[in-house]
Amino acid sequence: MPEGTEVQGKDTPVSSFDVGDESISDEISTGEDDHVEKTPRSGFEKVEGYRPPASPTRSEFSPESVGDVLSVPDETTQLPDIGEASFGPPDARPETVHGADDRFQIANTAAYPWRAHASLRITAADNSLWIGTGWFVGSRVLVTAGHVVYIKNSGIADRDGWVQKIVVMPGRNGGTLPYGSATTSSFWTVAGWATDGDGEYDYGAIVLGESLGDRTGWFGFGNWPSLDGVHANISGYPGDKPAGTQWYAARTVDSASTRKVFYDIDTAGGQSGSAVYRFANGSRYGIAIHAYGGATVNSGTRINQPVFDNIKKWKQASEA
Amino acid sequence: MTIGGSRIEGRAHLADDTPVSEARVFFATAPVPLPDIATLTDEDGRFSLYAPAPGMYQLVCHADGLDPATVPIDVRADSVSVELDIELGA
Repeated sequence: MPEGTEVQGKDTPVSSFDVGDESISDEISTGEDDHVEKTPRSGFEKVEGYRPPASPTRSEFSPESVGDVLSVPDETTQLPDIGEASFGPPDARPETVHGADDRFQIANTAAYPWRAHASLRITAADNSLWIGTGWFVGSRVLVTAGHVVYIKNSGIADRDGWVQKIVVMPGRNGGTLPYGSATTSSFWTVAGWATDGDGEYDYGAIVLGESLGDRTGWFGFGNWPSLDGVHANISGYPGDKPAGTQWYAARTVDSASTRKVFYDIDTAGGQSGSAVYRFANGSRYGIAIHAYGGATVNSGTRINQPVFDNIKKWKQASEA
Repeated sequence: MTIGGSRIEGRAHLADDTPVSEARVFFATAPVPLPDIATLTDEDGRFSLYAPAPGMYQLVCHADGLDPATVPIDVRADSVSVELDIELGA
């Protein structure tokens, strides 16, 4: 599917508000100042004291594909996730921290890229409170999981539907909010999630009324035809650590299907919506949106072509 | 409600029954993949989650300054709801 093609079917975007259409830019920003971590050569973030765990040998990522935006053949969409072949069907026993906990606390959350991640405090339709994670892709828009902005199949009366509001706290570090906070009730997701509750379409976006992203910077996002051997990074706000602290871990992608990416990167409740990102051309690009815990691997919604197109549209709409 | 699923309701409190608000509660293990999200207890220490399928779950409750609690839950096919009482120690 060429870039800019109208997204239809389960990827048809739905929003909690009315928006128009405008063009968007593809630039990546590191934010307002020079508090920027250096780009590592390894594909993993260079965090003092953190050593990425050893990964199985994989073919190396081909630099020729950096920056390409390629489509995935539609005829494969009915096939089961390849992750199921390697890690069992979905009735296996999920455990989001596999073996030793590899996560490492980020101390300098006021620096890029950490400040491009936001701690989320979510008020659902039934007034229940939740925590999640989002990441900036533009000055006023963050990407997150669909179930962060639109609760589906909760099994609890009056809980399903658009959440009432989300408090966005970029670069939060416990009780410290280096970029303050912003509260919004403007969200996007897609019909495949909001209507069907299909976990393969579990992605969405948060739109802010102010340009906090100009201060924090933001990530790029991309669709690559192969994620084999790609080093994946995740940073977010897990509920099993001190409140509001940001934790990072990384590992090579285990496998990917047309709509899911599987990885053995430790996470916990509260990290839904985190960017699963890679390095390319010296910048950080989201390749998936973390969403689920799995038996031996966790998984996120892959940024394939329809997802890529929707994020571009949402970014465009936020800049209108 | 999905057949075979169960509503999990609970209350987190200290030994003297003082409610613990803002505690983070989620399933650490489950028989099916679940969204990686956590709920917060309200001012009365209460929370509600939904276990969508029968099987063994491990619910965890974390609050700053207190020892975390881990509660195994066996959700049976005929379960409708489960009530939990979670005491968090200092």
